[in-house]
Amino acid sequence: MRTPFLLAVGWALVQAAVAAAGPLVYVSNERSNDVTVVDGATDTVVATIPVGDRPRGIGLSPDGSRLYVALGEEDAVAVIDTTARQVIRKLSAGTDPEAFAVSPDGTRLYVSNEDANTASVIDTATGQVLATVPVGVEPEGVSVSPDGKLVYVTAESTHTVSVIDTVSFKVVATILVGSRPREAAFSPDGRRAYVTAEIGGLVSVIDVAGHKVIGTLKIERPGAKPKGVVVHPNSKWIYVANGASNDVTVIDAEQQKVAAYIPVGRRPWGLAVTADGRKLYVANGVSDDISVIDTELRRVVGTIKAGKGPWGVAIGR
Amino acid sequence: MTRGFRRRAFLHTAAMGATSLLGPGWARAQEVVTLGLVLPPTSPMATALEQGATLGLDEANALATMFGRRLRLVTETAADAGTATAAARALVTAGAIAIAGGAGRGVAEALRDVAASGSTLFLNVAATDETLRHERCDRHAFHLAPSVTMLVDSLGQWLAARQLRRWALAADGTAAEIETAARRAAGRYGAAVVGPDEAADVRVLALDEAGLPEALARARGAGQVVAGVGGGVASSLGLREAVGIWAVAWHHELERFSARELNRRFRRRFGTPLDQVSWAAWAAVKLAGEGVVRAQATSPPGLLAFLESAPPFDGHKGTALTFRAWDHQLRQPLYVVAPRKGQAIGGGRGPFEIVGETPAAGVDALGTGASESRCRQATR
Repeated sequence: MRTPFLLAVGWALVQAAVAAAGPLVYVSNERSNDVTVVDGATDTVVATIPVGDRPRGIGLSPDGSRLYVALGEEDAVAVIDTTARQVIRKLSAGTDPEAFAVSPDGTRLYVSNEDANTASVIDTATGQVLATVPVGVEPEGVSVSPDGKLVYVTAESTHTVSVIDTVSFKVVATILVGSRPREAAFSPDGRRAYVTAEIGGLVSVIDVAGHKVIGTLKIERPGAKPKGVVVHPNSKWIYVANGASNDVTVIDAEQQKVAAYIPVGRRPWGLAVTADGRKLYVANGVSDDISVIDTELRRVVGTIKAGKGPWGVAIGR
Repeated sequence: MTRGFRRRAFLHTAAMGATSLLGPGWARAQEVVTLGLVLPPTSPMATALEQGATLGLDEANALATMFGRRLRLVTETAADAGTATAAARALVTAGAIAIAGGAGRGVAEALRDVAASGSTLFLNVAATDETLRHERCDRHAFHLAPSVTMLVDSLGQWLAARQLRRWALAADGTAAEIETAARRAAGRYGAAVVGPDEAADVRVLALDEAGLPEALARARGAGQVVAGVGGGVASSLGLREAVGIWAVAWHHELERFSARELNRRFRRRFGTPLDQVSWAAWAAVKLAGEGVVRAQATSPPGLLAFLESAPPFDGHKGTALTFRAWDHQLRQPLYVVAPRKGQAIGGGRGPFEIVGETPAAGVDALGTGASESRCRQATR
């Protein structure tokens, strides 16, 4: 009688632990060449994964089993088994890969190649480069539309967004945005996209169907340098990391106006929001930490020590 | 037309943005816009200017051709004011909406005079003279090269921050603007200008380029600490001859803010490092190209309106570069370089390394402010 009872208690504890576990948050650290893994339930570091030389762009497969990290100095994207928490492969990714996006079905990576003025399409299963698409000068941010049909690639030196059709691998439109565009983010419904411009100090609002800018929001912070951008799952709020003013801008998507500025650590760069929209994680590149923002309260509720030079954030389910 | 009106008009254009839709049947005649470049006769300066402008043209066209436009660069040579005037007129006849140049004695003033008629714009990429920004300023002239006062302020801030506050002036009357700027900088940054025979932390070289080699040789022999703004002379020195602390507008070892990428592109294209002269020429052509696309500027008035709207130019210096309203000088960070220590010159590194960036805050901390401006032309 005793053994079944203990088994039952043990199983209950395991279930409780699983239920309590929050999403895992992964942060690339470009100067310590590793990834910090944070348990989103407790906001504590649970692992550090060595990945390779100069990790920056970071993204998860849809099922969360694979974590991809761009290694700028290795011309590769590291593939990490998120269960084993170790690098299992490195995909050749063209020269100096900095940022990329994973297709919604997980079969492709779209990678910007800064030196080559191209974007590479990589098959995640085979590692084969399926296509190389010419884009603007100094390509940087990459984002895939929620339906997987379009890829946006920002180009910092031509101030453009190249819109790539994912069937033909052709650029179907080029959109002029603010000076030095860094990142793009689609709204969950795919109708809008938001592009940060670091030198322009603004966010361009794009009508995705029309391939055109329909609004421009100036970030009125001294030398703000907007970089990272994400959209809340409810599509109502846009969050922008202001790299030089050490805060995050909250934008009301409907009103297209700034709703709040939230002070964070030094040089906020990449950010990501949880699937339930309750928490926002911000990588602070100079203070070597991660700010945890409660999106309801609009303030930092925790700060987590990361590696050196936190750059990008990806959140599992 | 008020400045405010011009700015609003530009912001409207920028806010609405531009899109090129590249469907299979897309075919649009490209509109070609001409820019001019006036080079000095064959010299390292001419090569540097031409290479910078060429890279600028490449990058301007990378943008412009996405939107159905194209830029071309027409080059003329001028050695002095007389030939510069003829060169500028030829470029105007060729349709140049703006002319980059300014290297050589009297050349910048001649280009400014031609532009003053409104038939083109002058993009000064080489002349540091204060008079061009003050008494001889003109609405149609824009200065991408830093002024003497900006360079001296940069040097002064760096020296003062390191407690090098007793300055002796090495002056022979050939560079009065440097001397004036040095006295002004000493007052602003808590330094004292001492007599030539007094103990000094540093000798500030108020000499024209012809006088610099001898002064530098003397400084090397005597082990003096010298500082100046003749970056062109300094950068031509070998490792063993390298001496002096210099304020410059660009350096090929800059890495932050994608400077590394720009430096790489230039070196890959020409096999030589990007220097401050090439940077200014690159910036002038690229900025004009942005006006052609963002403001659909195809004429001097169109480009003038764009440049006066203070477009935030990305010069890979980490901040938005804009022209000051009161004298059309491009606001920009400057750098301080000094002889490299304990390292070989190999790997294309050159004899000088970056030791500082200025200003610490606020780009208007370099150069003359609005209240000091003696510019009375129609630039406001």
